[in-house]
Amino acid sequence: MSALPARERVEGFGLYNVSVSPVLRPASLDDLRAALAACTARGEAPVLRGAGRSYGDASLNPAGPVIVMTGLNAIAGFDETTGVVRAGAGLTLGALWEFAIPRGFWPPVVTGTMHVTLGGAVAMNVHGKNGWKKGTIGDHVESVSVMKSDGRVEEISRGTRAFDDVAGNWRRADPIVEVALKLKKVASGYLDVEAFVTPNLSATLAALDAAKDDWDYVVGWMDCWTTGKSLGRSVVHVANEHAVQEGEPRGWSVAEQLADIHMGPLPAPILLLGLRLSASGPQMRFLNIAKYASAAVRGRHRYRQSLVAYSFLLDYLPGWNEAYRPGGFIQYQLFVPREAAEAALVRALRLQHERGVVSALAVLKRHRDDPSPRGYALDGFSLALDFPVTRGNASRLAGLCRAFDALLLECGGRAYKAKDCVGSIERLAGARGARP
Amino acid sequence: MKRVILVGATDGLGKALAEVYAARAFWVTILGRSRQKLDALVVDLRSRFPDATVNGVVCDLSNAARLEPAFQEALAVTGHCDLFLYNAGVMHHGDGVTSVPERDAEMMEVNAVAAVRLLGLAANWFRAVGRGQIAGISSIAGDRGRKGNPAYNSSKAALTTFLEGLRNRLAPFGVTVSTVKPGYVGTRMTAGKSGLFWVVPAADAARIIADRLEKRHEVFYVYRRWAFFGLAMRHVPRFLFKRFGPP
Repeated sequence: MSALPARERVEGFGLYNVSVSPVLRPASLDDLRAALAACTARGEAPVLRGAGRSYGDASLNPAGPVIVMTGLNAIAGFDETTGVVRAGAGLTLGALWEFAIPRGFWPPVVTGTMHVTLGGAVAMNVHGKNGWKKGTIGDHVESVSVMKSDGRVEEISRGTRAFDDVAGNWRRADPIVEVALKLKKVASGYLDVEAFVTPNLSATLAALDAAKDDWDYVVGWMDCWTTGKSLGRSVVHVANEHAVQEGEPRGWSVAEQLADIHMGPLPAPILLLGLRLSASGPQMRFLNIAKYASAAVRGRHRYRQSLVAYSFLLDYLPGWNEAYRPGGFIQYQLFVPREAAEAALVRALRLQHERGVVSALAVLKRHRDDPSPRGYALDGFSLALDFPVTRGNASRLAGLCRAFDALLLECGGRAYKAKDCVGSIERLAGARGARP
Repeated sequence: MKRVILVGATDGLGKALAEVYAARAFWVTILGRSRQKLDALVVDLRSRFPDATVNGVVCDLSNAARLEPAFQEALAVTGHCDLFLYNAGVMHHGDGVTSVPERDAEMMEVNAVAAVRLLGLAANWFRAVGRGQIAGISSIAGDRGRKGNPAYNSSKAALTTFLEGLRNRLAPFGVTVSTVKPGYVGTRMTAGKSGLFWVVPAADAARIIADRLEKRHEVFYVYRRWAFFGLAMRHVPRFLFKRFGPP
């Protein structure tokens, strides 16, 4: 029996959730086989971890081993005609787009950061800003290979019964080792982005709803502090693939993609320091006002942006989550059905005011129904909220999260594992008498 | 958002502390010896404080082999831990002059030995995490050896000193270690005893302790006036304490 390595700190991306676990880092299928055997020999069930970009406890094991899958990151093959790429579960979306864009392809669904692994993305069944048009990543997976308990690798293909249980099943004991994902063909690596403001919640919801069929990417940035008539005012960004003109660059190179990331004049360390000093403070309120005001002053305007610059906003300032130490921060993403959306989101905003904990960053998206048995997405909206965890707000924030749970229960809403930091999924399932 | 593991919380001050943390919608995991008492308390807290996440882990502190599994189990149900609070304590009243070895040993066993084992495990965990808080409910009784109950005094003295050592060990890792010396608290332990003063109801004591732990105070009494009493008592010369010291 091989011993497990020494315990070390393992954190969720929000840094609030943490575990102290023996961490195994297989670099090959044989290593993974040995790692699984070592866990089995000790009678401890491992938790699989990708790049650790889930905000909460999805990749943590409070009382047992963690297997980090990032070592299994080889690209095994790519079919130019179908766009299907086969890659190790530990491959990140960042490495994937760098491989795909020079060939004129782009992942069909991407998260707000490129540092997630394919395996993790499938286990969480992640979504992006194109949730209405493209659904979740599970909708584009052709097959996965999993390692069974006896060490055999077995392929599960779309259309089989077992496949239904793949996307969004973060509990599966047999790790996904390879994913076949159908990439989408892009004529241009650029997007035409249109930005405009909406003065209140109903206008915001109406704008996202109206844009969902004409635009591929639809997202709203909500200012949660405003009350009264401007409750829920937002800056909305919609985007479509740029139509390539004669003689224009196609933006198919990595350099062109990265060139569009503009951070402004301040160097990253200064920005990080600024964030550190202001992340839990009232300054965030003024940032939200400034963001809305500058968009309002410019009016409805269009600009061209690379896919990378548009998609991966969370990567502009690497290490930004560190600014929230020591308490960390949590995410709470409310998925609410369309009919109940306005009332539920009004309530979600008012609850923040009542409890005195207001999110500094709120992202609104439109989703389509995911009929798969483990689907969380529904025909409606999701509002993702960020809250720093401080000594001063601990009790109010805990109460707020429970009030959000109650709100989701009431309106038929859902929670999402990659964002769940406070056990909402278990609570909702428990209250509904279902298995989480 | 705090996740709290409480050792010895099925009764008295510990139970009151569990209520305070449950009322704040926190995660509360209670280690207790009696499955029956534990289950009843968990059901009660869950129904009174539905926003809290309450769990119980059965752990007999006199069973050394059970402590590490119980600690891991507590972590598993709590997710992680922001505050590990050791409250378990036994006090046997004797006649004030006769030592009863079994009872004295039990006090040492629960108040000191099991505390050292569990707090040591917690200390290792928190050192790896690099944040959080450990607290122990010690006692003013540990400040001096008194004629009435030398074993209780020494068990609490051991706990106080152990916590002080942990505090110094963990300070560079961002972990706070707090020693609470409550003074007289109105619980079963003090019920029917004569000569008590400044007695604080358990619920009030729990609220004050929780608030001061939140402020990361390191060594404190529940009523601040006890600090003066403690200071004076620690400095009474030996020959006077021998002659006139409290029982």
